[in-house]
Order: sequence, then structure tokens, then C-alpha cells
Amino acid sequence: MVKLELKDVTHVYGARTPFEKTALRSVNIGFEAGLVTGLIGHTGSGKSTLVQMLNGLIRPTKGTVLLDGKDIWEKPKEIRSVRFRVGLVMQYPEYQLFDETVGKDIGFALRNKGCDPETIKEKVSRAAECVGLSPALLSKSPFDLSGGQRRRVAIAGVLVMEPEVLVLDEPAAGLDPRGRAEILGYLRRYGESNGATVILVSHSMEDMAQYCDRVVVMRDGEIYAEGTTDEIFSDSERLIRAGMDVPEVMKIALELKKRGYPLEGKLYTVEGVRDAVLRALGKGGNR
Amino acid sequence: MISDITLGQYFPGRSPVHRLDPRFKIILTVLFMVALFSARNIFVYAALTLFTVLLVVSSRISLRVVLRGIRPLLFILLFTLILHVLMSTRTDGRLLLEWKWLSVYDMDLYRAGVMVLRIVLLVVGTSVLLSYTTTPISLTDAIESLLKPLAAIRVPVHEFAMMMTIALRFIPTMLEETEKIMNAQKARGADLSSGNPFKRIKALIPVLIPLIVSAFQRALDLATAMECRCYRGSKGRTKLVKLKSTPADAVALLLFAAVLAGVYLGNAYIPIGIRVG
Repeated sequence: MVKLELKDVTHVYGARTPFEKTALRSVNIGFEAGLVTGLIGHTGSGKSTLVQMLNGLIRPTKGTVLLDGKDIWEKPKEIRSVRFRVGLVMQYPEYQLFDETVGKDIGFALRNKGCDPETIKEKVSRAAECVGLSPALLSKSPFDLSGGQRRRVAIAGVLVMEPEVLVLDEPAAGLDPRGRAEILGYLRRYGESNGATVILVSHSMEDMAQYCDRVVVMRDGEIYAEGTTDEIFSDSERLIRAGMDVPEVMKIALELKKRGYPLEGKLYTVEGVRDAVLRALGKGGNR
Repeated sequence: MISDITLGQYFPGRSPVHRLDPRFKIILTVLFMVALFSARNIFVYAALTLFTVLLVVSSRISLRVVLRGIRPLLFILLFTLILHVLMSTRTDGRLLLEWKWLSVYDMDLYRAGVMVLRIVLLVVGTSVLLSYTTTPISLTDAIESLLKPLAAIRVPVHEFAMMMTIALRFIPTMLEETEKIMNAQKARGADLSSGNPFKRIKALIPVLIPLIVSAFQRALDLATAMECRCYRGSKGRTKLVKLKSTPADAVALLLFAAVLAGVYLGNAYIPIGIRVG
């Protein structure tokens, strides 16, 4: 089932000025309910514009955005209700923190929604737990935390709304490998336990390969390729032609294949390649 | 969108106005302003309007851009117009309307019209001469160069110019940042555009705090970066691009001086037309 859909969406920045720029060109795309979809593309391919359309921060110049089959811009005055249902974590979200304590900052969205203090308290601690923040941090000032912790606070500030769709623009950018793995793991788990649809923007092919069920590749404001992670990576030629990278481990696997090793399977994850290599060497996979 | 604001925006180009020496452009702007405020006769104003139009044409800035620059002023213009018509205590010319304490004479209307015209010409003229056609960097260079003599009496001219350059350089960055933070808070359901004024100001707190915090952070980073590159003020500093004046600058200066002289002559010797101000 399609949860969130863009229909024939075009967006032009600075129309009728010398700085006019078309960011999206007749984009048609659906995001499947309950799955993690990865969105990948070079800088300037229109990813960030697309992402900001999903919760109504940008209104498309042309075309419609459908949430559960309903146009989100049907009643422009009620666009705020869409933002509670489609949670968006922007790039480098740690710069949006402002409140006196971490707890209050996480609860900001719920106060905007008009929840009562009891509910807020309960949901805030649940959201903090979701991203691995210890309860002791909730009474601290967000400005006293480390960069990585502030990132988690900012993500918790969106998770607290318990959105049906969670959209994240480069949530792991600038984190060390362990931080990356932790954050992405938390998000994947949030999606699974809440049955939420997750849309993950990244330009790391490794992240796509490891965390996403489906992958959408964008190029110059258009959808270049779309499909399950298997489909996208099995046509690695096409990715490389578009100037995209494939995961490092996949490069090794392709090189081995070229030299005559019969590798089969999920060649885009470390585990997949390991199993394939073991199988090829006749020692049986690790399963 | 915030990024739609054009006030103080540079439009790249190679027009005669673009190519003038920025130091001369500052002087020309002063001459233009003096001329504008010295004019007393309606015909002189008509001539100045024509001159401003010619200035816009020779800068090759599209008329739409220029008009859009005036749009934010509409309220002030309207306010000026109403104040001048209603609050005037002068009683010359023909009485058009009288009601209780209110009296409107036709001279009031002329004066109000001229006042509005003066503001419009002022904004159009200065933005075409300076902001639309001069990069902020060359503008501060020019200011530094013009204020150089003050360095003799220990005014830190270079430091002022550097501060201005940095401030100008970060305006677009801050605007972009503001928009980003506003979007982030809107994504968390913040309502920034409805409610009474008091509520709206309160709603801005989640935008302003992160903005100020990041501005300070940026300032610290920049200071560190400058120190790493051994910045130590004006001492021993040379310029990569030296300002050079050309004959065209002298011609422009003569032209503007002639316009100013023309304004004074017109004030004194045009016998017909309505005197305003």
C-alpha cells in the first residue's frame, strides 16, 4: 500500500527572476507503507526539496502530494495537522534546539499540538529512550551536550510526535561510524515497532544497502531509478553510469566476479559478500 | 519566502554603471541625494525623475526588479502621503475640502506628492547606483579608501571596513539559516504565522535562540580561522584588487555635478511651475 505519494510534482525556485531554478521536474513517486525507503542523489538533485514537500514545508509549484490518498494541500490552513503526522528531521537538526532543558525541547512539538503535561512527560521519556538518551540528561541544558547527543535530542524532538511517516534528511551526517550505526539502528527500530513508514535521505550507498527496503535514486530533479534494494543494486552498471557510487564492498565483489569467481546473492552488504565468497570457495555459507 | 527579499542585493552585470569605480559611486550617490533634496520646483523634479529613469536604463537592471524594491516601502509612502495631506497647517493655494478641523488645500496635495516622489527617487537612485550594481565587498573597499585620511588621527578605518565586510558577507548566510530554523520548528508544529502580535513574537523565540547561538558560534569560528591565517588588522596588509578610476568616472562625476548645478539654476530661474517646499 502506498502511504505517501507525489503526483506530477514540479517545483521552481525564484520563478521569474534572474535566479530561477527548477528543482523538481514532473516527479511521480510513491512511498510504501511500513517500509524504509532510501532517497539518494548528488547535491542539487532535488532531494531536500522533495523531502520538504512531504510535510508541507514547501508547496509544489505544480502537482499534488497525497497522504493516505488525500491531497495535503486541500485545506492550506490545516497544513499543521499534516506536519504532526509526517515527522521531518532536517539536516544537522542539532541547530534547532532552543529550550532550557532537553526534556522541554523534546516536548516542544507536543506543546504545539496542545497535549496535557502528563502525556507530554510520558511521551518525552519514551522518545528519549527511543534514541538512547539516558533519563538523567532530560533536565540538562541542550547547549551543554556533545554534538552527537544534541543530534539525538533533535531526532527525539520529532519522534515524540509518533509520526506515521518519518522523514530524515541525512540523519547520520558528520557522525563517527559507531554513532551512524546507532542512530540508523534506532530509526529502523522506530519504524518497525510503530509500523511507521520511514524515508531516509543519504548519500552513503552503504547506509542505503544496509538499512533500506527500497531505494529511490534522484538525478537533476528527476527520478532516475526506483525499486527494491536488490533490484537497484543488481543493476550496478546503471548506478555507475549515473555517476553514483556503489558500496565499497560491492566494488570488491564485482572485481572478484570479473576474475571468474562465481559470486551470487546480496553483493551490496558485507554479510552478503562474505556468504557469497564462502559459498564460492565451496565451504558453505554462514547460514 | 525570506530569500525573496531583494533589498541590498547585487545583480551581476557589465553595464556602464556596474563598471564605475565604487569610490566614485559613493560620491555620485551623495551628489544625487543633495540634488534630490535641493529641488524646489515641480519641473526640476520632473527632470530629476527623467534622470533617474535614464540611470536605471543605463544600469540594465530590469524595471521589474526596481519596482519590486519599492514594494516594501508602500506602507511608508502611503503614511507619508496621508500625513502630508491631513496634518499640514499651511493654508496656501485653493481650498479643496473643509470638514471640522480638517482642511485640504491643493498645495498640500502637491507637497505630499513631491515628498512621495522624493522617497521613491531616493530609493531607486541609491539602489541602482550602489546595491544593485556594486558588490558589497567593493563597496566596503571604497568606504575604506574614502575614509583613509581619518587613519591619520588614529581612527581604525581598516577594522571598521573589515567589520562591515564581515557583516555584509553574513547577511545571506543568516537569512538562509533563519529559513532553515523556521522550517525545522514548523516541522515540529510551531505556528509562526497566526495569532495576535504578542503571541507571534513569543512564537519567534524558538527561532531566535538557535539563530543567536549559531551566530556566536560562527563568529568564534571565523575569529579562529582568521587568527590561524595570521590576521593582525591593517598592519602590513596589501590588497589583491586595487581600485582604479577611469576617465568614465570623471565623466560621470561631471554629469552629476552638472545635474546638481542644474537643480540650483532651475530653482532660481524657472519662472513658471509650482514651487514646493
